[in-house]
Amino acid sequence: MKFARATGLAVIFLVLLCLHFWLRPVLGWRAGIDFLVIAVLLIAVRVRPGTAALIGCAAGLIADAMVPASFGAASLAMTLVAGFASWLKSTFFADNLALTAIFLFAGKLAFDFAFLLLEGRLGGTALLSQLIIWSTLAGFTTAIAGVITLLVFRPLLRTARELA
Amino acid sequence: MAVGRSSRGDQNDARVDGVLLAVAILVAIVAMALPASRSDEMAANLRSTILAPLVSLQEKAEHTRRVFAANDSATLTTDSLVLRALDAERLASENARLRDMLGLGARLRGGFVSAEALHGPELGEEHTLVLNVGTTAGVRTFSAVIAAGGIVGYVSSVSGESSVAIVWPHPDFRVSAMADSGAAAGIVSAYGGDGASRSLMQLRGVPYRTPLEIGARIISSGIGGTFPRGIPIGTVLDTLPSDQGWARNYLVMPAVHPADANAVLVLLRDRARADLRSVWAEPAAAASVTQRAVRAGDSLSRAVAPPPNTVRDTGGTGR
Repeated sequence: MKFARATGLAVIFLVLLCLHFWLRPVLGWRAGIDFLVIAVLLIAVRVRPGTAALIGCAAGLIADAMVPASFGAASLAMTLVAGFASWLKSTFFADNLALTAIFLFAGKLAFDFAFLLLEGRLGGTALLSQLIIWSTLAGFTTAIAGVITLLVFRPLLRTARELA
Repeated sequence: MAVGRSSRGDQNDARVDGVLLAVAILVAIVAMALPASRSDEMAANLRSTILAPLVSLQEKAEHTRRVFAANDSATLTTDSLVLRALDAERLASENARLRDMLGLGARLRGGFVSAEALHGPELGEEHTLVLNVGTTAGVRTFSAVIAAGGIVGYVSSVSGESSVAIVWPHPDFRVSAMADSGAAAGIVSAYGGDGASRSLMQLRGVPYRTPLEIGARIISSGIGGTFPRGIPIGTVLDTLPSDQGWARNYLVMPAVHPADANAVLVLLRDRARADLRSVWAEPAAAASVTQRAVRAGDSLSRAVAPPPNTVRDTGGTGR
């Protein structure tokens, strides 16, 4: 049972991972959709906080490997966001679309906030404009994409939950 | 007992979660604390092993995006080229007219001023042109206005720096005309009427004993003092009915359409009595003058801006 559930979540994670490294560069939006955050948050609310933290750490390391200049920053930010999301827990948001959208929006903002602070590259007005304008826009696009993802994968996620 | 076991289980789970969370945070902090060289090396190792498929995927995505961007760019370039091609046709036509004017000016050998003709857009101004030359350039009332093809009109009013000319479709326009051979004479005016015939002329009052053939060339006769002898007016298209038994009337295709006259020559008064038949009777000489001017212009432009990757033409006769 646990294997089937884990397989379902792994499939969703891999699909979103591929979207992050294929669709996102193709679109090339300044406020791009963060499929990695969607993947981590959708899974984090369905697993225990420790597991969520590890998944967040792994996803962050993947992001860090692509941008070595701030190696570790995404990993730490994603660990914190995933751990906190899992602690907030699944029963509350798992299948509610509106709450999921708000959750993803907040999660993306939290990730960007933590990442930008840990990375330490931007400061002053540049940091503020990145957070207020671009991270907010990215939060919106990520939330919308996350809701679509949830609708697409709902049967799989529900089965995984029932099996658990 | 069961509650107690469950509580212990929860405590254990919470402990495990805490440990895993701490491990994850520790890993991330260690990764952040690594020196740049080590972190670069680790990132490179990850990219070349576990993440290699993702890196490949991202490269393909970037390539796809570049292809889309290149396609957009190619579309824009094609659109620009089409616009330029359309513009080139207009430029070629204008260029041909200017070359003709250049040739005419060379053949006239002085006694004229060149002018730009502005067509009045207002109602009632369709038969007039505003010229950018006036009395300071020697233009006077009734000065002849001509183009490379022939007669355009004459100056009806003039001021210091500009003048107004009426063109041949004007109801008041008249020019004394004759056949190219000198055999027949008459008066040419606008034919009027509706539709396409508005752009035609009529030759009236040709003596009955000197009929004209269809296609005969009509030129100015020089009578009246406005137009010198020998300027082309048009060619005979057809005969027109005549209400007078002693004269014939003809329909004439004009040599120049005023709408095409953007650059014109205004003949000065001292040329009014000249005979200009030779000016339009030497097409070979005219072509030669034009070709020389064009060759000289092309050579100059090549000399000023030689193309970077082309072999320079050193055999041109105009160089």
